[in-house]
Amino acid sequence: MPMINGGRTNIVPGSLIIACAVLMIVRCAVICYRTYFPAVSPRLSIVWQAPAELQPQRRDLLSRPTLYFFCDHSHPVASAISDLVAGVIFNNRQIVQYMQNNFRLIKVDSTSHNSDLIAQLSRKYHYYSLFKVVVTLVDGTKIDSCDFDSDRGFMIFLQNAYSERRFETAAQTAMLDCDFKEASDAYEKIDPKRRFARAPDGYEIYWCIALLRQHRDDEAKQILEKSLASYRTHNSDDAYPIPQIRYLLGQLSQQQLIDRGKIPANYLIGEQLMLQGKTKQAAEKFRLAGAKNQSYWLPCRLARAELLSLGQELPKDTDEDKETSTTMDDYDY
Amino acid sequence: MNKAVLLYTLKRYAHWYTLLCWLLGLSSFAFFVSILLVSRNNVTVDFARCLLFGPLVPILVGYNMVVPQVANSQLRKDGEYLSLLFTRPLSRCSYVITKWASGMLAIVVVTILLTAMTYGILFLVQIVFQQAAPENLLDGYAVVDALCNAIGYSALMILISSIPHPWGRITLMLVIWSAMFASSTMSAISSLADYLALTDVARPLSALAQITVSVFGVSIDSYHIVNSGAFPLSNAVIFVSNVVLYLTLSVFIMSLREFFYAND
Repeated sequence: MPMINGGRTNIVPGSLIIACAVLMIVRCAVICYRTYFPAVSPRLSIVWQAPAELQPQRRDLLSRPTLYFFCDHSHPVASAISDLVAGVIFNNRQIVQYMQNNFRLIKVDSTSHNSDLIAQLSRKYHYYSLFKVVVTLVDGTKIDSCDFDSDRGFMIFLQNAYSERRFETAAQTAMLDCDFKEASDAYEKIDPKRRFARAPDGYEIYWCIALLRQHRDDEAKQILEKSLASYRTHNSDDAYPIPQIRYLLGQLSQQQLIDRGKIPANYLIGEQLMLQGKTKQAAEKFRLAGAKNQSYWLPCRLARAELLSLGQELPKDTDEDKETSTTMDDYDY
Repeated sequence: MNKAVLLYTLKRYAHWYTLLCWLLGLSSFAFFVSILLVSRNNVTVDFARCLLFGPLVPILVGYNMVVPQVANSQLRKDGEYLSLLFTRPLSRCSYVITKWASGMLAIVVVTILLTAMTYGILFLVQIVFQQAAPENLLDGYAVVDALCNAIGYSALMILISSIPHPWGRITLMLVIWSAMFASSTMSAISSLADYLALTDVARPLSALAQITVSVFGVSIDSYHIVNSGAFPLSNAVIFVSNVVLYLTLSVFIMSLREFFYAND
């Protein structure tokens, strides 16, 4: 015999049953509405442009960057995978809005008719199959790329590419073109918090050189002092880029700088000589800095760029250099 | 709500040994999550976020909190605690609601503790290694997800725990997984039918699949709900409907069960 009076304690409240039934009906109605009157997918609102020839001569590096969406519809499996990945990231309203507001959007479909251009773009940005997103400056210099990510991760990728790596890449590209005004403008736009929060990268050195070459000495000194204080809180005095900054501030001699690393030292000394108008001696220092073709290393590339701008011949690459030589695009610096 | 059941459910964890075990478990979990976060890779950060605010913690904590076998501090067989309890004039509905509330409370407390521990570890890492914590971890979406998962999963756990026999609970879990599998199959069939331009077949199938899967899909990802192209209100309706459905079914099952103290 049950020990509980069912009439009093084990009753299911009518309000609960009614609420449950009503919500179930609303649920079915909502799902049917969603099925028969589907909302417009954010993906469909993206206006993709057709691929066009690259314009490496453009110098407005800080203008709206380009986002290349590489996809593959050459066979059903590739097509299904491309569409699946695109569906994950482009069905996000926030992503679509951010892309449309900040990037020039270009879709590169491997099956489209302009095969030479597609092949050229695929080669340049190392696209082989399925899906890839590449963000570039207006002149075609790669900022960053993404093969697959969640939509949250893709949003971070876009934000980093647009608001951080874009300026770094633009600044470096401008420095390589000896366009110091554009370079300093780009360096100035990098978020200082992000710049100082990262591992020491020494961008401040190049920023200051860009400023010094425009005779903006006071600004350069201010930046150097601030970055020196920041680097010194976490690093020893010999750690890069502290000696280089101290040299630019006049706290180290040429020999003391060379003792702490030859390539950046020769490049920095060359830049100092350029500022003093000693072009010939500067070219010698740039030749030393750019002698070994370590094209992944910025001081070496900058030294070579300076040599070219001075109308000097580049040092000849050894066979070993040719074998180990790499391009900017091979490295995510 | 019954104050005695709520206090008993929470207070039985107040023993120093139990607290120590939980603390060690949570610290290890927080340490693992911190390692994932320190890597600053998008995939691992997403995974860490899912571990902290996703369904895992609510399921584990909710189950421990509401299942009667575990609820019995003397670890007697199922029914002992309930048979003692239901010899009192306590309504089954009140019991279910109280257990649901205690489950929610425990999940929220554990999530807050875990998040605090993780940020504590990340703070230490920042001091020692100058490796900043990811900025996109704890945001409004994370708070909403944690709260919704606490509400939803504690309700699902109380439904599972209301099944009298252990095999009954296992069967329910199997039914949930089978239904999810069936619904995904139906979705695939409806996609195929859509591809073949059989809209009359595709849409009813798709609706049926969604209705089926939504009964067991109590998890909430507010970021995707807000940013997806779909009708966001529908997810809120489905979520509330599920919670009420689980509670109603739990009360219904509990009201059918009989407890015999004399038999023990």
